[in-house]
Amino acid sequence: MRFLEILDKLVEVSSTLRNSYIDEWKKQGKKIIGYTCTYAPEEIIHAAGILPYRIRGVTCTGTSNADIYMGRFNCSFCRAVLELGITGAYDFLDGFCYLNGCDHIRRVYDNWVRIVKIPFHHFLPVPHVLTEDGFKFYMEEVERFKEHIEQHFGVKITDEKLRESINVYNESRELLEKLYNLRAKENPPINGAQSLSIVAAASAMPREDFNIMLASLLKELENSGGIRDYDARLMIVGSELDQPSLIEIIEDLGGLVVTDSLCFGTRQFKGLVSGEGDPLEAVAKRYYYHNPCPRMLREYPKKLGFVRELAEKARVDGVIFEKIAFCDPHGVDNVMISKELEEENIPTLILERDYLISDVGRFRTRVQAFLERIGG
Amino acid sequence: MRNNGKEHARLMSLTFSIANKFIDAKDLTQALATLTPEEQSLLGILQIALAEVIPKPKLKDIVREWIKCNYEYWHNVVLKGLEEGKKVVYFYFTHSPEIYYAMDLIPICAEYQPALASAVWTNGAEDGIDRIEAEGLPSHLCSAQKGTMGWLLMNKVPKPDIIVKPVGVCDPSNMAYQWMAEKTGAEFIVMDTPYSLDSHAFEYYLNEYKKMIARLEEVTGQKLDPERLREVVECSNQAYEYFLENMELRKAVPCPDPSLSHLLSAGTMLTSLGRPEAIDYFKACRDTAKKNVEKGVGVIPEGMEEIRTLWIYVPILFDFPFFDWIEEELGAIHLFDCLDWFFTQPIDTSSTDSIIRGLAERSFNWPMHRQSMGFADDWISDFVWLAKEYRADCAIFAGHAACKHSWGINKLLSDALKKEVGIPSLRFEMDLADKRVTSIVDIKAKFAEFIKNVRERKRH
Repeated sequence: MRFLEILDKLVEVSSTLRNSYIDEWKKQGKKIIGYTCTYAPEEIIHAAGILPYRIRGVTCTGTSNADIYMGRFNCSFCRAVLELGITGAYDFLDGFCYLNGCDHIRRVYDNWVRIVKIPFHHFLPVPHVLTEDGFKFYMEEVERFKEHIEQHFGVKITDEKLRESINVYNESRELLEKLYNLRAKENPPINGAQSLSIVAAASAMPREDFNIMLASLLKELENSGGIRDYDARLMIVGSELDQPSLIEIIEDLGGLVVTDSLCFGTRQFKGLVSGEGDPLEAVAKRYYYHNPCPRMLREYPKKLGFVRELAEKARVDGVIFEKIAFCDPHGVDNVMISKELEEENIPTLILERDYLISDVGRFRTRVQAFLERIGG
Repeated sequence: MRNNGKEHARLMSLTFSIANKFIDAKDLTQALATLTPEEQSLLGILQIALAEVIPKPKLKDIVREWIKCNYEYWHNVVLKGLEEGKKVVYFYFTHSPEIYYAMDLIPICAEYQPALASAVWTNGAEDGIDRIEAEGLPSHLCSAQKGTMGWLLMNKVPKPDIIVKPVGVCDPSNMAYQWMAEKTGAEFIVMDTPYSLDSHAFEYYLNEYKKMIARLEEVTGQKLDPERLREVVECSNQAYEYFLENMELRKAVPCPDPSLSHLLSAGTMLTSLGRPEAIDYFKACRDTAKKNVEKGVGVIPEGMEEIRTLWIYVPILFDFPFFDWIEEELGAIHLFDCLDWFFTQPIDTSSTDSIIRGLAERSFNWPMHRQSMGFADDWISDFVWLAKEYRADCAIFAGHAACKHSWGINKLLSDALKKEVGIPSLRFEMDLADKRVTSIVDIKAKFAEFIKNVRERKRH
């Protein structure tokens, strides 16, 4: 496949829930487990011969059913996910791994288990601190998750299978790292909206197929001319962004998003699983200690450092922070990090949005003003 | 730095000094004449409506002791402690202060400062809330932390040397504490909280609690004195036993225990457990309820049929007279809310280990901590049990705007109470410590209509 064909395919995968790969997978009688955040160890699901599928809100157009169960103070992404569950859009799932990522998504679990019928539910709690005791706790939970999958689906997750899965997912991470390295170039060969679609597609299709496609795409990108007609290099930081509409608005106005700190971005793929030692422990370590989500306490310096480092590497002219309304972790981190960057003369803009972006005009105006401010 | 940030404690100390002069005054003019010029200057910021409610016979003995607790706390613990150069520890409301008293620290519950202000001052913590929102922090954080955060910027409250945060209950508080720690440079001690209530989870939490103490020792440079800890906890136990007794008395119909005392008790747990004045306070609550039970009377007007309301989330803090109003005007009683249901037993003081275990266990099961930190099932089963045990006629979900986790299960709670206990729920939006979000007039209108319907339903 050529560049555009591959890209179109990945965009298609990321913009739908039940894509052609899912249909094919199900046709073969294979299982799929959904999961909600970057602390879910995908390799364990994969090693069981099951497709790990990151839950997204795409295709949702309204949340009238979910709003019966969750209030207007609840995140619109979470309500979209519940809506899709209630209305049957996630009927292709054979299981669901929930996590206590935030107050909103953990309550999706409480509602989902009562309303939406899925044969396998597992709740994987993640500590809010990065300590040795915290890791021990998480490791035990990961072991419990593995055993639950084995029991329910009648499979054995061997060390050998786990190592194979680690290789597959590490390959993905390395390929995505290469993609981001290309984006950091003076003339990136791909824009931010396309990149987001690629990262989102990674967790919505068989990872082996994704790796093949991304490797081919990278070969094409390495030899392409790159984007020259942009006014400013930007970084985007913030909460759940699983579709490119916000980035499209930014890029339509002349900005070019060249890096990010998103959980459908660098926070998802940075950091490899070690090939040494017990593979299950290696997987748990990678997920537990990966670049921290805002929910992690006592990790502010690391969170700030991560954004600063990526901004420097990609030589950005400004950073756009975004959050879904009523998101407290990003609501606070965005403001704190933004202030620090401003003190270092890195211009920033903070946007608040709903998951389903409707007020495009307001965003355009604010982004336009920001681009003017940074001289773009 | 040590002398900074006294404004809030000074005003609170004066507030309770004034209240103390009024609680037993037979002649208001005479009481006014006893005020110092400094106290007189404060009259304008106080909630005047409280003056009509707190001296009522049903409340007077309880409120008198509550005033003493608060005066002791703000004047002698906080202000004097600051003058003596003691270290300040900010702690989250899901654990009690005994450990800090045992280490001779000044324990300040970050939520209690704005919450109490909203209850006793006309404009509560609004200046602090506005200040922190002007700083760019989200308005959807909790007012009970926003007030303190803003006051820190305004230098109205003491800067903490240490901050202790059990995580888990909610994201807004976790993030607010992160901000406070970064802003003040305080030592940030985080106690991680598991997601379930089983013994494995408790052992994890106990270990976190022990690590917290070890870190306190490192930061303060002093070892925890086991004898001092035992003294403090034995004092706390005496108070707590009265509280447990009172909880049993509350089961009586009509309810013998005034609604407002439940709210005051939750606050007293945070300021005064481990101090002798808390014993007097909880004894006054117990004595009032016991006397009423013996007389076979309740706290609603004689002749009215009682409607027993179970508050399945938080109460309203910014308008204490509301709880007198529901009793006097509607014949309704507040049984419990999610902040004032304590059920763990007094702490075994036979060894330091048993004491620490007991403190951790109480924190693990602290109201709201127990219900909010994990699965909805625990919250639902607790309140279904409470509704049955205390014969609730209806449930009230006063939805605090900041508590997103509660909004995520408000319907599940209401549905379970309907299905398993057969009682209806009233659900409305508000901010527990900021009157500007939903006015008390609005809340009263909804509440009155709902109680009217519950009463009619009960009759049929």
